[in-house]
Amino acid sequence: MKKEEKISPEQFLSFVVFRIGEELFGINIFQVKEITNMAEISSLPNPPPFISGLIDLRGTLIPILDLRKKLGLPVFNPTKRARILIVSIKGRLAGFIADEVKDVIRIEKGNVKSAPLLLKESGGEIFQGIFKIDSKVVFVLDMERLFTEKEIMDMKRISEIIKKGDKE
Amino acid sequence: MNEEKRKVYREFAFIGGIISFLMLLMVGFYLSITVRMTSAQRLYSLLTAGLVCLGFLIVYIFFILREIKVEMENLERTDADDKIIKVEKILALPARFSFIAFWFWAIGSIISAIIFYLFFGFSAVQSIEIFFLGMCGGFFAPLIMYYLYKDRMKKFLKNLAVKIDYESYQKFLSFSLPLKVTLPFIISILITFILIIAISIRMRDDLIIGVLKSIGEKELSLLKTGEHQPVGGKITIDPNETKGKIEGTIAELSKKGKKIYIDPYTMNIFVFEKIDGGIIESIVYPWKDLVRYPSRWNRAIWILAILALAILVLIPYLTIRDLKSSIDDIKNFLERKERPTPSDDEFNFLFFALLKFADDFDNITRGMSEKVESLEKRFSELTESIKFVEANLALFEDAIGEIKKHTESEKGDIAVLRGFLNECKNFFGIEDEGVQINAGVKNNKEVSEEIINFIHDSLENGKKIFSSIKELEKFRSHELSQRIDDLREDSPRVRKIKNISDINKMTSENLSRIKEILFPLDLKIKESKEAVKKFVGAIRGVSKSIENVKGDSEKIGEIARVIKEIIEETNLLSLNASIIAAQAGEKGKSFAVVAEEIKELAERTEISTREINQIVSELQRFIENSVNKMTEISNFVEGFVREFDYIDEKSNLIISEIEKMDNSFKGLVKLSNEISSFCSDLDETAKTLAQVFTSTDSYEKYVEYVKTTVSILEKALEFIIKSQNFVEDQISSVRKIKEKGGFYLQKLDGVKNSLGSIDHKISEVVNSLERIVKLINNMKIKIKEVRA
Repeated sequence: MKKEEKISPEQFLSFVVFRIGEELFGINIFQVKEITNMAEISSLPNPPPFISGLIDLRGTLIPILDLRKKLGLPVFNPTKRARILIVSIKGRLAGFIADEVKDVIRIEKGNVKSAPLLLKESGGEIFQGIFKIDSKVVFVLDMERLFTEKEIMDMKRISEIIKKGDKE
Repeated sequence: MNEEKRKVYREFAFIGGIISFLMLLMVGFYLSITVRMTSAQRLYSLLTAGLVCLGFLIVYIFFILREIKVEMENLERTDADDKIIKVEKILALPARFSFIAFWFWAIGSIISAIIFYLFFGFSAVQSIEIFFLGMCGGFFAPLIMYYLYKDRMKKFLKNLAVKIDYESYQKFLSFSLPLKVTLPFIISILITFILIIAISIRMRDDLIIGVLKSIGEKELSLLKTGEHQPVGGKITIDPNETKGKIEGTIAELSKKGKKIYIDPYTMNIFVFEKIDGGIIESIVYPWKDLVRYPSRWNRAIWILAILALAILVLIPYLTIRDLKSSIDDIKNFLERKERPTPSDDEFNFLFFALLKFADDFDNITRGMSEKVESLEKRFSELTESIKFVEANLALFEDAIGEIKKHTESEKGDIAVLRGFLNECKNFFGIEDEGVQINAGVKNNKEVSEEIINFIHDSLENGKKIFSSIKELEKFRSHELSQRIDDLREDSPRVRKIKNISDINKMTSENLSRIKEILFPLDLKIKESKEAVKKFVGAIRGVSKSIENVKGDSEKIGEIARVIKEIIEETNLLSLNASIIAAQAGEKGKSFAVVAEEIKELAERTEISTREINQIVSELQRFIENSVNKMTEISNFVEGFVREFDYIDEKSNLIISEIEKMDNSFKGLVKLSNEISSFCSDLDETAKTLAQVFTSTDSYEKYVEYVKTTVSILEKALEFIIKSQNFVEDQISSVRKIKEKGGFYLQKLDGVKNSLGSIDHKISEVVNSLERIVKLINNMKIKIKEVRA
C-alpha cells in the first residue's frame, strides 16, 4: 500500500472486477456508479434485444442490459452472489447482472496490456485491454463502446419514456 | 472496549512518562559536561521534575478519561446540531492531552527548579537549567509518544470517531489535526534545545572568564574589598589530616605552586593564600556568587533565554488558535451539508454518498450489535439450558446410580429367584432330580386307580352281595362272608389311601414354603418396577432438555445466518465505498481507508461467523447424536419396562398357579381324608354286615345295610373321580410353572443384559453431553470475538 502511494496516482487505473459465467471482466471505476443486490427485474413490453427489463433503484427506473447476450456467453440462473452493477453509458444510467463482484482493484497503467488483435477483430473494440490478477485474465470492458449507436439511441428512448411516465 | 481504551491510555501515560524521563536523563547527561552541576544534583532535580509531572499527568488522565466517558454518554442524548459541538469537544480531548502533557512538564520543571533553589542551595543558573531540562523533556514526550504510537493513536482516534460520527471522523482525518498539533512542538523543541546548549556553553565560558578575571589582581582585590565578597569564606586544610578528595587535591596542587583550583563537582573556586608548614589557607568562592560577576555576555544570554521562553509560550498559543480554526473548519463543513452548493457537483455526490454510507454503516453496526445482543441473549438462554441439562445430568447420574443399585439388588433377587426356581424344580420334580412330587402324583394316580379298582370290586362285591340276598336261602352265609372278608381284607388298600393323604399334606406344606419365598420376590419385583419408573422419568427429563438445547442451537444457526447476510451487505457497502473513494481521487483517500477497514471488519466477522457456524453444526451433530442415544436409551428402557411388566405378570401367574395348586392339594387332602373315612366306614359296614350275617338279623335290616354300603361306595367313586381331576390339574399346573419359570429366568437374564447396555449408552450420552458443554464454551469465546 505504502509503496503504491509513493507513485503518483495518475499512473494507476482502478477497475471493478466481476465475473460473468467463468470469465472475469473489469470496468473502469469511473464508468461504475454503484453495486446493488439482485432486485426484481420487471420486463418491458416489446423490448430491444439487449435489454432484459427494468429495476427500481430507490425510486429511479433503470434499464437492465443483457450483457450475456451481448458478449455471447451462455445463460445462467443468477445465484446468491449475483449483483447488479449500475454503470453510466454516455451519461445514462444502466445496469447489468454480474454473477459475482470480486473487488475494486488498482492496477499500474503499464500492467494493462492492449487486447490481442483476435479479440479486437471478433468483438470489435469493446475490450479496452486485458490484465492479470492471480494468473487469471481480466478483460477490460468499455461500456461506451460495447453498444452501438443505435442501441444507445434505443436506451435513450427508453429512459425518455420512463421519464415521461414519471412526470405523468 | 472501554477496558481496552483505558489500557491504551495507561500505556500512553506510562510509556510517555518513561520515555520523557529517559529523554531528560539524556539531555541532562549531555548538559552535565557543559553546565556546572554535580551529577547527583542533576539526577535529583530531574527526578523531581519528572515525578511532579507524572503526578499531574496521572491525575489529568483520570479526568480526561472521565470527561470523554461523560461526553460520549451525553452525545447519545443530544440532538444533531449539538452533536457537532460535542463531537468537536471529544475530538479535541486527545489532542488536548498532548498539550497538557507539555504544560505539565513545564509546571513540573518550574516547581522542581523552585524547590531546588529554595531548599537545596541551588543557584539561579542551576535552577534555570533544571527548568529548561524539564521543558525539553516536556517537548519530547508528546512528540515521541505520537511517533511511537502513531498507528495506535490513529486507530484510537478512528475508533473514537467512528463510534461518534463518521463524517466528523472523515473530516478530522483530512484536516490532519494530529500533525498540526505536533508540528509546533517539533519546532519549539528544536529551538529550545539549541538555546539550552548555547546558553549553557556560553555560561560556562563566562564563568571561567569571570573566575580567571576575578583571580587577576584587580578583580581579585575587587572581590576582596567587599563589593563582591564571597560567602564561602576561608578554609584551613591540614594535608596530614585530609582525607577528602577536594582537600587532598588542593593540598597536592598547592605543593606544586598552583594558586587556584576549580572543583569539577561543585564548581567552587579555591584560591590558596598561605601555606604554613603544610597547612593551607584558602579562600573559597562559591560559583553561584561568581556568576553574578557582571558580563556583557550574560545579559545577552538572558535576553535570548527570555525570548526563547516567549516563543515557547507563543507557540502553544498559536497552535491552539490553529486547532480552533481547524475545528471551525470542520464545523463549517458539517454545517454546509444543510445547503449544498449546486455548482460543486462531484463534491456533492461524494458528500451525499458519504452521508448515505454513514447512515448505512450506522444502521448496519446498530443492526449487528442488536443481532449480537440477541445472540448473546440466546447464548445466555442456552447456557441456562445447558445448566439445566447439567442439573439434569446430575439427576440422571443419580438415576443411573439408583438403577445400578437396583441392578445389584436385582442380582440378589435373581439369585433368590434362581433358588426359588431350583426349589420349584426340586418340589415338582420337573427336572431329573425332583421326582418326589411326580412320584406323589404318580402314586396318587396309581393309588386312585387302585382305589377305583377296589371300589369297583367292592361295588361288584356289594352288587353280588345284593344279588346273593335273593339267593339267600339257596346260598347260605359261606360265600357272602367270603365276599365280606374280601372287603375287610382290603384294609391295606385303606392304609394306602391314608398314605396318599400324608403325601398330599406334605406337598401342601411344600407349596406354602414356596409361597413364602415367592411373596418377598414379588415385593422386590415391584420395588424394581418403581426404580425403573423413576429412571424413565429422569431419562425423559434429559431427553426434553436435550430437545430444548437442540432448538436453541437451531436458533443460533438462524442468527449466524442473519449475521452472514449482514456481512454480505457490509461487503457490498465496502465495494461501493471503494468505488466512491476511487472516483473521488485525492479527496476520497481517507474515505478509502475506512472502506478498507470495513472490508477487513466484514472479513474478520465472516471468519468468526464461519467458525461459529462450524461449532454450531458440530454442536448440532453432537446434540443429534445425544438425542439419538437418548432415544436408544428410551427404547431400551421401554423394553426394560415391558420386560418388568412381563416378569411381574408372570410372577403373578405363577403365584396364582401355585395358589390354585395349593387349593387343589388342600382339596385333595380333604378328599383323601374323606376317602379314608369312607374306607373306615366301609370297614365298619363290612364288620356290621359280617355281624348281621353271623347274627342272622332281619332281612330288611340286612338289605338296608347293603344299600348304605352301595351308596357309600358310589359316593367314594365320585370323590375318587374328582380327586383324579385334581391330580390332572396339578400336573398341568406343574407344567405351566415349569414353562413360566423358564421364561422367568430367560427374562431375568435379558433384564440383566439390558441393564448393562443401558449403563453403556448412558455413559456415551454423558460423554457427548460433556463434549457439547465444551463446544458451547468454544462458541462463547467465538461469540465474544465476533462481538469484539
